[in-house]
Amino acid sequence: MNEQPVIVKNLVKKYGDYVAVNGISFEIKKGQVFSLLGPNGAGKTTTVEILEGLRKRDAGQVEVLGMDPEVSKEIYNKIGILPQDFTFVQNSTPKEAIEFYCKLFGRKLDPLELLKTVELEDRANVPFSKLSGGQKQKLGLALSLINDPEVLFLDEPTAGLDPKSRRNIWQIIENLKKEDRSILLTSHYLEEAELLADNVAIMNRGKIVDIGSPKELILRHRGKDLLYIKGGKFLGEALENLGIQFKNEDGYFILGLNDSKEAIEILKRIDEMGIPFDDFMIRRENLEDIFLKVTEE
Amino acid sequence: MKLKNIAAYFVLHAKAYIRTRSGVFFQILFPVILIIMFGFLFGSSSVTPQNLIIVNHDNGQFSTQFITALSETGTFKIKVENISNIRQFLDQNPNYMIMVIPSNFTANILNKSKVTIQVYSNSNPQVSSEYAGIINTVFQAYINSFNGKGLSSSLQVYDYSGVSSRTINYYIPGLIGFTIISSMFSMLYQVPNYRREKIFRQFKIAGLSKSEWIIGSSLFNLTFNLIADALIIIIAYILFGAVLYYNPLNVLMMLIIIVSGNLMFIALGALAGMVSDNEETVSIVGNLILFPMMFLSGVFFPLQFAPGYVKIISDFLPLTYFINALNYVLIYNNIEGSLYMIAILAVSSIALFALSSKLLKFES
Repeated sequence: MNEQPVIVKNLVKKYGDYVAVNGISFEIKKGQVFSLLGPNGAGKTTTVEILEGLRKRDAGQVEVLGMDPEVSKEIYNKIGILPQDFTFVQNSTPKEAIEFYCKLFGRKLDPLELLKTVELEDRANVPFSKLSGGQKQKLGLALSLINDPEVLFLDEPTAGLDPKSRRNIWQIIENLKKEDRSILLTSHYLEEAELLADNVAIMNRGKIVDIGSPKELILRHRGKDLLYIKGGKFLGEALENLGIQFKNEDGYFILGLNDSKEAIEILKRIDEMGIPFDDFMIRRENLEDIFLKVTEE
Repeated sequence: MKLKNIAAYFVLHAKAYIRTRSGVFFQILFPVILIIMFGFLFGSSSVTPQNLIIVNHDNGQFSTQFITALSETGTFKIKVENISNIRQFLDQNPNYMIMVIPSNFTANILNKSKVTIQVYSNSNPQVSSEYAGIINTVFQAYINSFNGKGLSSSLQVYDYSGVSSRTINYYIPGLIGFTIISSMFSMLYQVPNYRREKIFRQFKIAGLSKSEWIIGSSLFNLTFNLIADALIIIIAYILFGAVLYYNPLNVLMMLIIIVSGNLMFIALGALAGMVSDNEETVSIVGNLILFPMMFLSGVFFPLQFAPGYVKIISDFLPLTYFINALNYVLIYNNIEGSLYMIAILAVSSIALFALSSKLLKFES
């Protein structure tokens, strides 16, 4: 068993003069979900496609299950791939698609059983063109599992899906993780990475700008907790009189806090001054804030 | 190349394709509708007998036999006359054709020397070329009957009944060619579509090779084409009395021609699809290939009287060999004459298949 099924060292990919991937390195451990985050054009899909053997690299070293994906065709028997915006032969059904893959991979599986694992068994005989976006992604996920892969590459598996479909797919990924499969997940959704990933690499302009567990990244880059108070102009005047610095956004006065007790103190003083306010909340910076901070730097 | 992979793609594509009713219509029913249409327009009639004046300078026994054989086809109203100024006569009588038999006709047959006849016409080239084709077929068959048999068997009765004058016969190879061209179009659309939708990438991931995909597509189209072609022949035979050669050898040769032609046009479609990166260019590229072939390959218009340069161009078009080979096998019963065309078809189809397998890219 390979304890580090994916190893990437100093990977470089150029398109003409444009450097899409600029010397990135990371490793994925067995049974780990590793998420590549980054804005559009950061180099995530290029990186994933190099790992899948679908693109050639210009420099660096890549190993997937001990094989070089650029050279070894054998790799496709051991990895599962869900590409971005998965599509298939339009008039084929999920059942037929699974039967096709089973024949090519030489596997004997019950298509309905496999479709059950992605909650698609009731759409087994519906043409691909008539499936919803979420159902298409679920089929892609089912196809990526036919060869019982040790490593899965899921490129934006929930992009464009409604919240319910997204949560369905998250549940499936959670189940795959429990089966000790290693998963490389690219995503736009920080919430997705925060929920599913053991490790996250934030990419920007072809480089990894930070890497670590979601908690580590938050702790590393977190700023002050923020107190949001909703109120009118008297509240603004009162805060000025108290010498407290604030920002005004969407009807909320936003104040930086040194600790949680400070929030109670401020609210108490405003109340004592007889200034009315409608609502308040304390917000802690999440991975999305960290992501925006890191990629804007 | 794995047969199980080819079979897997065949099954997947066939099931998906059958759901597209318009696809099935164009692949099978459209050619059938065409043969019914041509049949009703031309099928119940024979070619109108053509006035043919034979200027016989030979007057030997073989020229007389040949004239009799030509007469037995029922295609010509024959008069044997001596005409001094052919050009002037045809200018005054455009509905006539003139065939000149040289004085050495019989002597050359006896000496096994080259025998030539001349045919003159001043009418519509499409019409006259059809008649000239019939004269040529009878003439070739007559001359061929001497080869290898010696003069001792020269008194045998020649059977020319197979050279039917029914017009519907001549549309059948063209319509079979039409079904084959439809296969090319399906590939022409499929290649850019599968590339854009990244379905090729799915095939690569699943382990289907490029050559397996092309062969699988070819087999799939071949199945549908054979159904369409069988329907064309059955309808032409039952409804319109088409006269074709159905001997086992002729059928076998016809199958070889269709299989080779099918693979060749599938490969050609795949190559053309590679240069069509969007739906707009697909129709332009398709028409660029289709129209020259339709008009210059003798699909519906005989090429015997076409200008020399057209014949040169048509010699480079694969469909020419496909149509001519079918004509030779199904209508003229000239298997030997069709062999070099079938060889060219087979070699071209293998070369185009190899080229398309090499150049096609499954990656985006």
